Amino acid sequence: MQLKSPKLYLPKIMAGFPSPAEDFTELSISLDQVLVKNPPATFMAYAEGDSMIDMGIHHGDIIIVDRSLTPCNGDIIVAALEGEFLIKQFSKTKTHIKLIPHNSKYPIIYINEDTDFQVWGVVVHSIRSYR
Amino acid sequence: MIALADCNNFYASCERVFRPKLNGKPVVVLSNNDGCVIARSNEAKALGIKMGEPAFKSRDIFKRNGIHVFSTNFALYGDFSNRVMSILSDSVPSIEIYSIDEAFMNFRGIPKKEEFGIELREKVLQWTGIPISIGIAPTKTLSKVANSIAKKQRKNGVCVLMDENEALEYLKLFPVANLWGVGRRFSQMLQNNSIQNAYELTQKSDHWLQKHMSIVGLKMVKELRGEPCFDMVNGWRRKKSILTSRTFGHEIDNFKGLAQALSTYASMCAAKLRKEGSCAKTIHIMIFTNPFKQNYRMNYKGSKTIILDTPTNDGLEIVSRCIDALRSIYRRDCIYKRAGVIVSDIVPQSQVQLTFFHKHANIEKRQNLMTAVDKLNDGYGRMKVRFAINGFEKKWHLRQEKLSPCYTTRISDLLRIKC
Repeated sequence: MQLKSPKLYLPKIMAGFPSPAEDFTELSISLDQVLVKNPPATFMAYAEGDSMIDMGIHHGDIIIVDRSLTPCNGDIIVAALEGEFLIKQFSKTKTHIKLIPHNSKYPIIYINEDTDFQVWGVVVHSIRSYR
Repeated sequence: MIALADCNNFYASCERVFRPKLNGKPVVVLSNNDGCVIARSNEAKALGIKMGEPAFKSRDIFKRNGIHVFSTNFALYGDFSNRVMSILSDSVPSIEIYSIDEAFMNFRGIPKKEEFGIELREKVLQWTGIPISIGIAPTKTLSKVANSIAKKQRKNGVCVLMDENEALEYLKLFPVANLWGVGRRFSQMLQNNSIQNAYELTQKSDHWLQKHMSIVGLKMVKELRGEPCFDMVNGWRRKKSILTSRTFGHEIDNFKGLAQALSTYASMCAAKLRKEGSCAKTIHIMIFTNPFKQNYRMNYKGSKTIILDTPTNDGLEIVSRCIDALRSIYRRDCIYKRAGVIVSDIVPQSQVQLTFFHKHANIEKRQNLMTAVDKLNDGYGRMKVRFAINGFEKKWHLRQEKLSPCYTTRISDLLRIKC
């Protein structure tokens, strides 16, 4: 991930008819720009495990986390729970906070006042490689 | 109005961002080669761990108190520094980056300065996980004082020293030795003149101050009185010199090994010059033996300065000049512990004047070569493409036994999170 802006490369044209496309040259698409809206607050991590499989986050996926966002109901978050990081779905009601897994094998985690809990960041993308 | 933002226990805070387990636990960071303590979390400070304490002496204390120890991970700290500075510079009209963890900010025209400071602090903490303190005052020197008050006495991490009388009250409690730019030299002299706190210093006459502390000292005191004397510099200052120097992980007793180390530092200096678009005219090399091991050994410090005809940032040229110079100062009867390269007389690359005998084509070729090398190394990791003389021996590499992963700069080191 870069904080710098990309450079523009144009081929040198030696002679002959100028390329008709030259005036229409645009920056090539940058995945950085698509996936990273706020570079200083964005971090990447690998997901490990299968508790979010029904949400489409698989073991080995790269997740992109934006710490500048405030989590809304239904967001996937990175939580710091009792000193450990977890990826779960965030759910907040008037009375309590729940961390919901998306795999029936795993239980819902209920957060109460005594729990050492913090939202570390909001997961905004996940990237999976197929080969 | 100037505000100084300073990251709290910066290196220790960086180590904590990816380890929530360490919140509330004592953390220390050791210098290069794990030599001594260079950063402490508040908990480590409370345990009485001192700055600069040699690590080998403190092993037991670390163990007994469950202190978490890290080697310096400058890749990680540099990345967090960039993040913090980029947030600050997007939030205020202009900033001057003063060090890896400090920046002066221009607060002119910002209404409700304290609230703004508190919000900015919250933003940096939420976005990066790094806690900062902000001192706001009419001058740079006072903003340093305000920052130190913010760090120690303000829960919200922000202190504003606008009111002159209020500022004076704080200066009465502020030891002169902690003032910006006083240092060990002046603090002894001031103590001899029975000046204990910053307020007493502001009461001295300008004549006395200039005589005893030079013009810079006088300016500093004028700033304490609220009169701005040091201007803001925009962004980064162009460096006056670049130093790359390391203590070896293991001592070196042959020319080849020393040449490998020195040429690596020379290449690193050249790469830094190219990165900031500068050229250097003077190269200085240094080699040292270990002064603490004197039995049966020669204690020797060798150094040589090379002045180039034309300023350069060409790695090939800088390395070959360094090796030539090394030949003339190398002594076979010594065992070396440390070496370094300093490049100075730095000018912007665009202002370099070529001598009459330079061949333009050759220079362009070299520049293209260096650009290609930089690009490869940017993409694949530092020193992946190197000069043969740099070698691949690791003997003189840093000792970093407790190095944390480069969480933000290496894909293989990314955090792994359970789900």
